[in-house]
Amino acid sequence: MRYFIRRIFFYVIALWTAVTLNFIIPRLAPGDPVQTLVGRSQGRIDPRAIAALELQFGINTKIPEWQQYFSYLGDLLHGKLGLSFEYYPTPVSTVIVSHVFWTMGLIGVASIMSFILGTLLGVVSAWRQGSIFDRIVPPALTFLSSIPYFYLALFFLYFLGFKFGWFPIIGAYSFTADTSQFSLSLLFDVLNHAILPALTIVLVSLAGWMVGMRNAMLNTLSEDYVLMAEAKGLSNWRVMTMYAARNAILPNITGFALSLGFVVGGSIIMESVFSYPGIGFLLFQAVQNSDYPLIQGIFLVIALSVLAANFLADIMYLILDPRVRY
Amino acid sequence: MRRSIQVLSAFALAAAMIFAGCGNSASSSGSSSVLTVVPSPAGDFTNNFNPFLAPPQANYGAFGLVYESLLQINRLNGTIQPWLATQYQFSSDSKTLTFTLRQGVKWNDGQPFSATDVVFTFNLLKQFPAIDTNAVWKDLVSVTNSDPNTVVMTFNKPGLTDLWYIAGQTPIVPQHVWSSYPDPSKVTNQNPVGTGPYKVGSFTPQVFTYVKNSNYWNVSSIHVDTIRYPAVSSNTSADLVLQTGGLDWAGVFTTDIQTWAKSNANNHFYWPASNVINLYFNLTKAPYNDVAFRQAVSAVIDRQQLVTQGESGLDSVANPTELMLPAQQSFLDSQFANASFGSPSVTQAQTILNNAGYKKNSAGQYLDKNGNPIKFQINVVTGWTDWDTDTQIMAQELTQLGFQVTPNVISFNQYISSLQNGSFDAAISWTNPGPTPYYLFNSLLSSNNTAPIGQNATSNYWRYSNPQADQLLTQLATSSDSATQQQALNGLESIMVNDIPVIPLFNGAMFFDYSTARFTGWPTQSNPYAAPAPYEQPDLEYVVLNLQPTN
Amino acid sequence: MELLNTHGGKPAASPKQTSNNMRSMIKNLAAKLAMPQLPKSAMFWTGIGMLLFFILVAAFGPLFIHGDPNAFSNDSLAPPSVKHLLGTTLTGQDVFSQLVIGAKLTLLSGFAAGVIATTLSVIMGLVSGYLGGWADDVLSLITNIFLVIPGAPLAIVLSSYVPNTSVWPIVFIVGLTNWAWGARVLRSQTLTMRDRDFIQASKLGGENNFRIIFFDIMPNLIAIVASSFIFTTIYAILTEISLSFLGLGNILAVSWGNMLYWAQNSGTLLSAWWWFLPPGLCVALLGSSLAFINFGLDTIVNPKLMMVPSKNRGKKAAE
Repeated sequence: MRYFIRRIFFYVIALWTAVTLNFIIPRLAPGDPVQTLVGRSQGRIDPRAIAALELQFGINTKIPEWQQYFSYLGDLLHGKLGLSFEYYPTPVSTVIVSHVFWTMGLIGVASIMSFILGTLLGVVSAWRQGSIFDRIVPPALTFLSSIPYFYLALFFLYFLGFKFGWFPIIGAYSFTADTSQFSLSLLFDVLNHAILPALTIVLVSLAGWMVGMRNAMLNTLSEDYVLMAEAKGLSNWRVMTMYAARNAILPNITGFALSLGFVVGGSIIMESVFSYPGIGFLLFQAVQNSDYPLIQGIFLVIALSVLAANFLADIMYLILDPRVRY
Repeated sequence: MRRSIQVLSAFALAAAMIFAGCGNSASSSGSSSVLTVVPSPAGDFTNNFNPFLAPPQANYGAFGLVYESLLQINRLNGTIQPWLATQYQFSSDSKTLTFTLRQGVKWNDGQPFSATDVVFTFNLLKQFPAIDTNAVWKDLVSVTNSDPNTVVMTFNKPGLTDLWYIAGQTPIVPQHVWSSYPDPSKVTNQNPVGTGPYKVGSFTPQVFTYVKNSNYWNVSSIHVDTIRYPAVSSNTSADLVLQTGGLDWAGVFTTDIQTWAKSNANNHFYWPASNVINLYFNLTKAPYNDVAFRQAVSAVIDRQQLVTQGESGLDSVANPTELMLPAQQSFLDSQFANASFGSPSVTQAQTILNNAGYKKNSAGQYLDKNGNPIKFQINVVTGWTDWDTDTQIMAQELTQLGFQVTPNVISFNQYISSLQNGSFDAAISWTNPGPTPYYLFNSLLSSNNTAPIGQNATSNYWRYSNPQADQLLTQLATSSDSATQQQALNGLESIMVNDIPVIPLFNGAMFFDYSTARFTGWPTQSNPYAAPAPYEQPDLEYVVLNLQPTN
Repeated sequence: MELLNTHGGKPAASPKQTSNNMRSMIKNLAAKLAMPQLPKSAMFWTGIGMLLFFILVAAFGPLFIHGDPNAFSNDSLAPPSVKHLLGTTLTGQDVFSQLVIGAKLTLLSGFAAGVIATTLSVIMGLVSGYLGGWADDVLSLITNIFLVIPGAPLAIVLSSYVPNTSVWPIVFIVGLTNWAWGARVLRSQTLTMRDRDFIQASKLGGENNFRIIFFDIMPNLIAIVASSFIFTTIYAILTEISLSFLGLGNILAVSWGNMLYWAQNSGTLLSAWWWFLPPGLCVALLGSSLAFINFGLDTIVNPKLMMVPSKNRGKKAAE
């Protein structure tokens, strides 16, 4: 019971920290969004527009900060994230909803693929400790994981996408696609557009899962119950999967649950390289344009998803490992 | 293992059923002409077609393709085309402006367009200052209609320079739709009802289309059936899409545009000068307030090198009068007909400084009047890589002359706020041009547009203040006589050349990349009938109506 | 995060006894720092070799480069030649000079961020694990909160605000947002050590907490600390490179990330491979060298992880 109270206390404090941080961050920024908008147009918006735009955005108000803080908390409780500056007057929530799907789809699926593949490779590597496979694959994948995301992404984009023309180079679907209804060709189009970004993510993150699983598996392989199973003459396959891997995967699964929380935010560079309409690139753009409400909204969504993933991991631990309850 | 195979096959079966149900996708229509446009790589779209909001808040084309202006005014050379208004007339004191409206114009929902819509639109701007982005009500007194085809506007001072904002930059909206909006600045207006040649076809955040409006008053000019806007999030992506031949019209800057143009006979670019990029000094501080100092700086900068290395050879060296040639040739004072910046010269700059009494210390550094080495930073925005390079080049050249100069590469927010409140020494920046040189000179030189240090200036960030310039600007704005106007322009050009309030560097280009593979009829250097960049509203409408499919 | 071995091992070695005597304590520490059981893995030594190479280049390379690596010339986009070993950039800057000079900033910023993060994680983890009670509650809460704060987005938001005239703001941001995981691991390891005999002995001998934590406990966790340091350094280097690539650093500074930024923005990725390829390759090699070292450190912490054939699997349970 004490465990539950502590965890719930933690979530409350963490949530409050995230929300407060979210309030403070935009206020640390220099400059103001109207000037940014006018300036970024480099003369395309007349300076005469400044007064009108300040009115639109409701900035340069003289409300004290603490009052702003409480009205901010109140708005959050009602689910109000405000209106985006950049996409004014579209609500921040609308902007986020239309982007979050793509990020979850792309990075989520790629992460799951990477996790499954990495774990399998880790199992094999541990089972064949010291073999050629174990000596070559982990270092090779480690090399891949040391390449910056964007570098690999640009490589794929320029060569596989642009030079050889095997894959599309921008977007989540081609701009000639008929998106008014679901169709098989649309599905293939979407998948085709996801291949290169997904491949980059999988290649770069594979090593982490593999090494984690390998290490965990090597520990369980020396446990008594595994030795016992081997002594009983059970088949190698059965010992590997049902005894060793099954117990070794527990910490890896929690790691995975935690990493899912970072899916939403972890895609900034990937999405800007491939012009993928996800939330990471949206954040980068919002930062560039001083779109405070949007920055706040995205940051909140990311923080909440990390907390949710943690909560999920807690529950999973509770189910999988009864010792935690005491 | 077996269990997972079962799960897998069940999933496959379900998937197959879903696909079977949705198998009949619509066959694409055959020979309709589709124009694909990327105005500016600004990322995804939101469903917003409010013409009072500047892109990317609202989508490109909302003003122009859907909503129209009273006149089409070419922002590069000032030529005027009748549009929703067939005629306009200023009174002799220029304080009353009368528009005669085109007859037979309909909104795209079939309702007739009339003078009440125009009056409604302008009163909307008055009622909601948040959408009066051109501040037309600063000068307007009233807008009324005497009959269904005539609109009369009165001003509190001669309104000649307001014509551009009122007739060229204000979208006219229908009273029967917009009167029901509680606050027009907070409306996304997803099904826009306009008088223009196009209506919104489809929308997703990744791509949206406009389709032909068969109710259009000049329907015979529409030869493009569909206009498609794909979302592109960076210059690099836009460049790639351009290179793969997927675009017909783009407003994209890329350094290898020449390679692209050479790679295919259908690829073209025409980048007319649309802006003057200057080196600005804070004129409230010494030694920057000294003409001799600015003359020396101007003499030592190698503008050709800025154009070649910083701007990849795609811009042109500025004119000392700050006029953008050749488009503004007709406004040039004849005494400056051959004016140009000479080749950079350190010795000439040193002579100017020595004559003005500047001394060097033993390290070869020039000293200010207090005996301290002259040391300053040139502000520039991080990531505006061409300007970043320009600033590095200028800093190197000025350091050679004997000043201690470094580039100060900062975020846009810091950059613009330091310009605004005057807390800078030097900066490279743009100008705010319009269809005649008045707009540029007014934003650059008028003391109305400046403010004391510490307060935000509107556009005269360098704090130039010269009663003679103010008087000339007033003369230019209030006279309808072209000789008097030219006289004022000559005076302003002299100020630019002799007083050097700002140091002209090069002409910034308007980005216009186009392909003649699917469409012809584009503006060209010999036929610059409109501002050609796809991000210029409402000018883009005029360009589209001039296009012809090739097949 | 998984490069860090978080679920295995016990501390590297458990001293049979300990003395209250300061001198032997320092001796003990020195022995631990010298890492008597250096890993035999080839990967470890490959990593050390590669890292040394980069450190040497960063330290002594600039001596051989004359002139400003940012200086413009009229040799625009010249391919590699004797004059320009790795060709030139769009504005005629020498790519080789930039690569050599850039090594210093990239390495230095990575290590600096690693030091900041590791210092924080050691202090937070060890103190929290050793003291227990309410102090542990508070410190663990802070650690857990930092663990769930999304570091990458925060770094992007903050780095666009701070005056980007140097690389250090990014270093601090990366350091401050990446210590929590290490602290958590160290805390759990400290918990297992707290009740060991030699710690109890020190306690009874009147040692103060500071001394017990940093002289008795820490030497035993040094491999984990090192592993955590290296992991954070890799992460910091990759983050710094990525932020620079997005143009959020000081774009006039000479670093590998900035080279990639300018190369990408010039739109010459396909035509000028000599500009884009070398810095990326160097980052990948530097990152792998650190990762390889980490493999070796993992085997110190947990000898079971060695990449040697285990003839009789599962019978290596030596302890």
